[in-house]
Amino acid sequence: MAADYQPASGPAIRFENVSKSYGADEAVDDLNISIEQGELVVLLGPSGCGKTTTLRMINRLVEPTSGTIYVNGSDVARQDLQSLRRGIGYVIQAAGLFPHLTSEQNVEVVPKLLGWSKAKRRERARELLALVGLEPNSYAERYPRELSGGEQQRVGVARALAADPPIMLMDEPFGAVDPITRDRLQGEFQDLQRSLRKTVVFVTHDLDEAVRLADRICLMKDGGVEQFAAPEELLSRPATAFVEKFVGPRRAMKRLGRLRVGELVRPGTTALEHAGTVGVDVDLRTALAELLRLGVTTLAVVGTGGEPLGELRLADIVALGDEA
Amino acid sequence: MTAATARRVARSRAAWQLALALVLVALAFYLFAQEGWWQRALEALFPEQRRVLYGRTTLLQLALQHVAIVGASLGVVLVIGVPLGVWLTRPSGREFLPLANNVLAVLQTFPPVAVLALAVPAFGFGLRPTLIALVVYGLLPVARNTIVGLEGVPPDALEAARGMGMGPWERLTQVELPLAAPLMLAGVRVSAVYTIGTATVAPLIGAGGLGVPIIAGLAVSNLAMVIEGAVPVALLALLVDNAIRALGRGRVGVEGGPRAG
Repeated sequence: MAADYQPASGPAIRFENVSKSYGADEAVDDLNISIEQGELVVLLGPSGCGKTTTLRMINRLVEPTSGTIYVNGSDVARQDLQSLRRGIGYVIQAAGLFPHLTSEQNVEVVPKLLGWSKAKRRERARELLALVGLEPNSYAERYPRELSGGEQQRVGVARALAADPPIMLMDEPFGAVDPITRDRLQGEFQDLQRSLRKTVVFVTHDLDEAVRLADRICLMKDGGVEQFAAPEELLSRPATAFVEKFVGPRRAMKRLGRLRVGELVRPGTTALEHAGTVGVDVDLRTALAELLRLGVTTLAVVGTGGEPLGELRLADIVALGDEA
Repeated sequence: MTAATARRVARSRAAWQLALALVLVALAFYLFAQEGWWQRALEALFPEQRRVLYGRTTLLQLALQHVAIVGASLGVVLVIGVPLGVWLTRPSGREFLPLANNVLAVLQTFPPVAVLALAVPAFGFGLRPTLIALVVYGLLPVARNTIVGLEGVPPDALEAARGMGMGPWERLTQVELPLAAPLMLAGVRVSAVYTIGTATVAPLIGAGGLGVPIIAGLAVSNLAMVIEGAVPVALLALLVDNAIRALGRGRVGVEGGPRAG
């Protein structure tokens, strides 16, 4: 990193009047957004809204037509191209693994470019494979074509994390896997992000994925920002007619999917009085389904260790819906 | 069967093929060295011929000359063909790609004898025009397969390489060439087999090799002498073809590559 690297002060990434046009076509139009340190921002929108172009301008795979992009306070256009990119993790849709390299060798690519010793690279690669849930002893030697789509994507994430970059760019990373694998990868990535606290810019066109993963969602349309807000706010207070249409009529349910039982728990009752129990970590959408399945209006809430915490009332969930 | 087992099997198969190729080479050279064997076999086939062997040079010497001519021209083909293929797929060379494809294809369609006939007035007799003719002839498979191999590299692998901070040289040497290697090797194989066959016309302009008994035999209508040259040429071509195939299968990159098999 250059001497002007400023750790953890000010926004991690800042777009200042950034535009990108291809001929007469305006892909990104006068973008001004800031992404904070350790924040997971999802760039969301329909195809052609400029979200991928925005992402790719951060590591200069696309150069803006005008405007400035700052990463940790310094203008990316003034940084050495290769060292800028080596300092930013990059994950793409089809994983983009190198077919002629094993999982371990794929993860070692950036450390190798950075001149790490063989032993250090190997140790780091195995550590990361384990971190993304691939047992190194059985996966390190495998080639990408010997892996399932989900496993390839895990290696892709491990590879992006290899040199411990503070920033990760992820371009529809879970877009090419089946829904069940996607759900699992999303959950694991959430856990990973909770412990790593990287600054993540994540592109998707999937609203559910965005709502699940994002700290803030930047909803884009025709190269401009429609709304840049926390998922709860985007769902409960759409800023424009486009946002309202995009989040759709089921937005109340989506919002429940983001909230946990813990937020509505009322203390004071014991499990014996209730037809069923629900964990405090369960999302409200699942809890609602359980209430409807049992045909009851209350459920006992238990903590992670099974200890009783109180009760959840159907009326409280309905009240949330009215609010939205 | 697990992938690791499959890999071990593939590796041991490649090792067997390599061993087989080495045994064949040893056997071939032993046979070349035993002219009495050829003499007896050809006399049995052509009892009316007074002279069944070329005789002025031993078969072993002719074979070694042949290998030297082919080796030298293949070396030049690699040194020109691979960088040419690389350059034609870079941004600076891409606009010449259609032109180069056409020129290479036209060079290939010249009959080898015609190329030799053209080389003589320009370069005189001997080894030099022979090498030039063989290089012109062997260039197309190597250059074209290099181009096809490089263009077949998966775009998402290239995109990832760029995004991870590989420069153009690192992308070429660490991603593109290893992925293109199986096709490039196939090009080398085709070129080697062509060159081994084509080099038999070399004696027409004063270079040696296994073509010598063939040309001499044709001149005096002595079929036995033609066979003395032609059979070893065929054996040599088969041998080199299989050796390069075995080399390709032994490479892990081939196996892990997108066009494996």
